[in-house]
Amino acid sequence: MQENLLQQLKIWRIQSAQRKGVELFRILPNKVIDEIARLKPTSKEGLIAIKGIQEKKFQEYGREIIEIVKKFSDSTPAKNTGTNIGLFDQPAQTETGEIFSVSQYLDVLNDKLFESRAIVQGEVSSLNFRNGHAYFAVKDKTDESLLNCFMWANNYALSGVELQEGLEVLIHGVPEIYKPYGKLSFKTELVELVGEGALKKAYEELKNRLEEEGLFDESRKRKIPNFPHRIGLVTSRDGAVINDFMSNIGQFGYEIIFMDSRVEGAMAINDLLKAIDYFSDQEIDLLVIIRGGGSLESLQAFNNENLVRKIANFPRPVICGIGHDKDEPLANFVADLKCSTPSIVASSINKSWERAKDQLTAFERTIFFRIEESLSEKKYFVENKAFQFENFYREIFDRFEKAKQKIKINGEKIKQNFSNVRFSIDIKAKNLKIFFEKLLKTTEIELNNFQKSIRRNNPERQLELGYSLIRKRGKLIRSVNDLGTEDEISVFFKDGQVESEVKKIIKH
Amino acid sequence: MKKINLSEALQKLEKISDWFENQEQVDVEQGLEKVKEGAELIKASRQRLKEVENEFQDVKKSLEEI
Repeated sequence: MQENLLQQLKIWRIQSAQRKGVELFRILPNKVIDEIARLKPTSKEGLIAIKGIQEKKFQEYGREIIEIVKKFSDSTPAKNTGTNIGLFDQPAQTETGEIFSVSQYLDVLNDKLFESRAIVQGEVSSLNFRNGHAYFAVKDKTDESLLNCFMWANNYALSGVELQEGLEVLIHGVPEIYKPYGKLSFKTELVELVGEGALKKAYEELKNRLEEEGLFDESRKRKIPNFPHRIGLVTSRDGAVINDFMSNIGQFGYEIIFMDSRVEGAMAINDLLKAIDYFSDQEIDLLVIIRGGGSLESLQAFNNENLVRKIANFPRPVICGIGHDKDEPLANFVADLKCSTPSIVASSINKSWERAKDQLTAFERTIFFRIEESLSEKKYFVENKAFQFENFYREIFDRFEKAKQKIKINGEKIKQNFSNVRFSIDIKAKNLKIFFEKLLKTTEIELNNFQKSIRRNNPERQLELGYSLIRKRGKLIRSVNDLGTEDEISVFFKDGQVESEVKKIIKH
Repeated sequence: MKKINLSEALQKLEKISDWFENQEQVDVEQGLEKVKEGAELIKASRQRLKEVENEFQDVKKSLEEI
């Protein structure tokens, strides 16, 4: 039972997600859906008690969820037969004569119809737009059978195909009875063109239009940043392309944030746009969109105007590597960088990292070469100076050495002389002493003799003996010849002197 | 590992390298100072350029698991 409720809730979730054009989990996460199926709340209180449903979610989906749960409980017999009998495979119920309200019955039918998801080919007719939503029919070319169609404005815009009366298209979607009118309408989620010719025509038209608009101009292209680190990657999880990319992207510590996306055919467009939207507010350095080669038909999502514009307006540089046979996808033209293969995309991302290695080597070479050069110049300079210095000092030393030698020689001489001198002085001194001693002795003897002689010959002694001495002006007079008349003379006696004048000279 | 900004490091190195190239006579004192800075930058950059394993994050898978 519970599983059937779960199934219904999931169907409801898919429908709501498609209506809103959002991811399933944005409606309600799996866990919450599981809880609703388990607890089967039929009131606001019961529903809000489930973790993950707040007032806002209740406002949005509460009524629908409670309706589903109620409907399920009502339509389920209280008595469980033990086998897993679901709403979808219960012919027994009608046989048992259960009566539905119109609304309930249409719900039952719509649940059945939801399983009739299909791609239908036909010619567009009765085309009509209201509030951007498309109302039209597709007509069978052979028997004019008609299928009424409805398409939400956002789905129509995403498809990127301009509907025209008579245009042959493939429509993807789910049939549904629109309850107010009881009319079947094919809820078209995607329109694609049929045939290489129509695709080619649409491709050329869009290409020309966008080209004229300047969307492919070189001037719009942004530089792929150096050393990208965080890289957004959009491609399919399956297939060779992602492996090619991953095995060629170098090990430079990239953070690769991967968003799986369908890439084949018109259906890919939703995934691609969602992926790009997701990455547009992520902190990435670069967005990479890759896919292997294919025909115009298989690549039509990459020729979708919405996609091309989203790439053009993406806040970061975009690299597109969409392989192609002849008509290059417009996504490639609008990308900041286009590459023909995923491995070339990878190597273009590696480029700045690889180049950095070479740059480092070059810088290293320049810096170290120059410093070594200057060091060896300095070394030479220093050596040269040292050499000059050495020479200079050597000369000084030489001179000094010579001078020293000279001094030494002279010193020896002087020393010799000194010792010679001292020697002779010594001798002379000794001799002198002897000489002086002798001299002294001699002198003493002589003095003694002289003294004796003096004493003996002292005139004053003569005076004692009664003799007198005559001096003229102090001079001893020995002869009358030394005197003249009237000369004044002094006559010395033993006990005095007489001053007298010569009166008469009588010579003998 | 100390994360360096490789762009900045290379720019600085380029400046240093230019300085050396434009100097007619490299002043040893200044030169050695620059060599020291350059050597450190080269070492750190080389370190950054050594193989560092990439991280891979599958967004859709992790979203589906919510």
